Amino acid sequence: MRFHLIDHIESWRPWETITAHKLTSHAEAIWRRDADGEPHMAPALVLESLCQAGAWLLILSSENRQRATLASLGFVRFTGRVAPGETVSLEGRIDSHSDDAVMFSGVAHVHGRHVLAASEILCALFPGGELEDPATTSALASVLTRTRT
Amino acid sequence: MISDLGWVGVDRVTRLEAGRAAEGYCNVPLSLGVFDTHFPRLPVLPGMLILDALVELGARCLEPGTPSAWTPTEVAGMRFREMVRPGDQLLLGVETIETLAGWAALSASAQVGDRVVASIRRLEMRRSAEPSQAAARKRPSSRRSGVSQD
Repeated sequence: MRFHLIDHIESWRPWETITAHKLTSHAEAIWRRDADGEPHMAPALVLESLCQAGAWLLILSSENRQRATLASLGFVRFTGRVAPGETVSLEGRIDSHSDDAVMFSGVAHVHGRHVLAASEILCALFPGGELEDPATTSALASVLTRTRT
Repeated sequence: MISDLGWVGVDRVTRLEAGRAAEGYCNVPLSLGVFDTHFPRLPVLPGMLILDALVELGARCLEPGTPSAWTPTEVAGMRFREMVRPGDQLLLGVETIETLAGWAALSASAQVGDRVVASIRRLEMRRSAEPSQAAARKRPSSRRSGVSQD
């Protein structure tokens, strides 16, 4: 599967905030079934969506020169479920950053209903080209932000 | 746990003390689809999939017969110490810290060999409704559906 859990970046302010969306589909391999038999998005993947929103904020803010990998999670609370077909709205904020790390926090909600809150998400920074061809990253960024490269 | 997820989970439980502790492992083959995009030049297992595997082991520990009834509610103090690469075998462990009816707090860790690659200081989980209760909730009552019993 493609491990891309952001479908649209609505807005972002460099080194400050991002608002992005994850559209869910039955066709994706992201579902858990609990005892009631109903599918819901694996909670860890809702959190991953928020982390990827933070990663995109870093990529866009650094003009594709930096990428983030997860180092630690301070506190996460799962407060609701995401059902197939729902759109997850993600709001992230960079709380602090240095040359080699970023501290991030954010929330996820579905139609105003909070499903996740996370704080003290610490990411280590890498040169963008070490993880992926920067041209590929730029092309995907233009798709997500609906801009032309 | 019934799952549509197409990636890692607990491949085998090697020790189980129901309600107290469990150990198991999951293999990380290069054939996993996530490595196509995470990342093309440096394939590493996403940390959230390690969290997902630990949650699954925690649920199996808490209720071996119905692990899917348990869902995570809070994670505090999770650290990712080393990257997990294709070809690694993750040794997973969970232990309960506190338990109440329908609720539990656990600690958890993942190792590769003798190196701890990820750890969770506190993972809280709760038991969701019984299947029969969930079914009852979904079944519209005669009053709600407007059907008269007179």
